[in-house]
Amino acid sequence: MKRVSAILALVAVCVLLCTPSFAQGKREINVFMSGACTEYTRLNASKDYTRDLYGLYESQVRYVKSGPGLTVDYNQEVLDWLVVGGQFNLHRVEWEAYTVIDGKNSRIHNTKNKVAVLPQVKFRIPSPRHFRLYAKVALGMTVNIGRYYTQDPVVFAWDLVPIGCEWGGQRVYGTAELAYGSVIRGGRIGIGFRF
Amino acid sequence: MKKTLYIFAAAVLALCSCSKGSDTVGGNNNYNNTAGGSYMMNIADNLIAGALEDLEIALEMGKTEITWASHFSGMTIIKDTGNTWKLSYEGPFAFDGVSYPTSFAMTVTRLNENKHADWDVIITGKRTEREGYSCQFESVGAITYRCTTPSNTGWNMLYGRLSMIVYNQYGKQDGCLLTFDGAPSQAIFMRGL
Repeated sequence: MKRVSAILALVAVCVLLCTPSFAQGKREINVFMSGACTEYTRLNASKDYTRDLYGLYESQVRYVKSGPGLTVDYNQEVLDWLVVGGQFNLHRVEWEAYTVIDGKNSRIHNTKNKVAVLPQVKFRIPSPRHFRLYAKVALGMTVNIGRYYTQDPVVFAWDLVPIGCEWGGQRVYGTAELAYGSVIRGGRIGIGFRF
Repeated sequence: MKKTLYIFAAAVLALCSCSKGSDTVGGNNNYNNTAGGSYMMNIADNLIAGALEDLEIALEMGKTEITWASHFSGMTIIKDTGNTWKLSYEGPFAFDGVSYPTSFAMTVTRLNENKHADWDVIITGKRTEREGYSCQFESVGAITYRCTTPSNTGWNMLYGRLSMIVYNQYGKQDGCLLTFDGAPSQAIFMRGL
């Protein structure tokens, strides 16, 4: 799995670097914010937290994840209906304050972060000029960074957008999409620039 | 274009306000702070105090190995110089009913002749648990176990520091320190070291 992820990451980098040269179409950059769950709660609550390290460090309390994520994607138009590119996601940033029992001292650590790099293909659906529809699929890898990660540092990542839309002008436009995958399960909204 | 920007700004504000309910993104999770302290109290309270109890019984009986049903069946006791003994154990040990392979080496010095004597304890040990988790613990200097109750029922005052490093299959997971300065319930726990 690590090898597959590494290959996909390489493909992502290649796509990002090479897209301007193999197509004559327009390029676009989209900046999204996501606001849905990025990881779901693990409900295997352990009662062993005071007598078992696994229960202490991997109980459900630390795994409720919800909050904003940031996605930046860069695309190159190949055909009228086909756009290829890559996306970069920062979809989890967690800080944790460690305090002593008496509450006198505390220190804050950046404990867990997830960044994902995914090459992607975007399909434009025929639609009116000022309200354009699309679908998107992306495969790549997520890198887990942080002091207290208990997972593999590199894992496979996928992101499927069954429907998204762009509205507004041709150069600057608003964009929103539904997304489902390992990166986010919810929606993104953002702003795009075409040049 | 203005309209687009307005909609985008409104959406960002809406997303930010929705995410304020999160307890982890930019938040403070005290769960592991208190629970981690409770875990380490098992070492101080059950493991070390259990070994001292076994030692006191063994000394009364003139034994050099714990061969009866006790906290640490099979623990060896070696008399060192003066009032000092060396204890070592390798085998299962339960924290509140959950048993895992545990090993330790302790050097203990008796400070008086009470029924439950006061002891200085120096310990290093290891515990191997499920899912690749393990911990190494040791005293930082000596931990003093003192009994001040009139009925002399047990050690109710502790002084000193106990450290613990937690590992999982990916390496070091956490560093913890429990500092005693009197009643164990007042111990100060710190993690993330």
